[in-house]
Amino acid sequence: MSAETGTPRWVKAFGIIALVAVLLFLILMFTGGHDPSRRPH
Amino acid sequence: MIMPPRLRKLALTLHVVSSVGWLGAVVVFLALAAVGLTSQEESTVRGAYLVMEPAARLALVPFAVASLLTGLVQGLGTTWGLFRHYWVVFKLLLNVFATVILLMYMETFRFMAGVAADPTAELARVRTASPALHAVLAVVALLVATILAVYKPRGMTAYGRRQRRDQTAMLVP
Repeated sequence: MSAETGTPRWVKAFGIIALVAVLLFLILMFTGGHDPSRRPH
Repeated sequence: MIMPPRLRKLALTLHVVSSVGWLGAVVVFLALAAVGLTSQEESTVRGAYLVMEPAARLALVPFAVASLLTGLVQGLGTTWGLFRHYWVVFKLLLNVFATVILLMYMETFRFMAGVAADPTAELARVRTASPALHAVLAVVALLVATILAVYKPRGMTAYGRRQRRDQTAMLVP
């Protein structure tokens, strides 16, 4: 598939990585994750 | 509006300086985080976490915002555009994502500085791997953005292809 007519493979790979990163970020944000300010004292 | 060559070069210089400055500042934070995690000196550990907040406020945030703003100028003021090429879109998303996380993380920097300043807080509570983790992720994100900017991998978005088609149609009588 030509880069000019369709979505290049690297874009699909980057898209998947970006989606996983955003999901991970949202999970960590809503669960508190590693954030030291939300750690029990 | 396409910028004239002189202005374009000035804008590009500012964008490169702010982006490379941001990457350099993040590497310094990684070093600070490593010192905080590994030093045996209590005052050094506390000092590392204390200095992170003002250093982030005075170096990381200005560089991040400058990189984002000069990047927007680059996109809007050149034929690259902001949404015509996939590499520009990804670079913009990376920049926005990293800047938003940094601004959100400022609260954590303040919290860590507060704990470090508290003489009754045990050293185990002062030490945290969080800044190191964030610095590593930021270095990776900024390196990816740099690689995208240098290699400019091919691929136009649907919007970019449509725009190019419209421009070609206007040129052909």
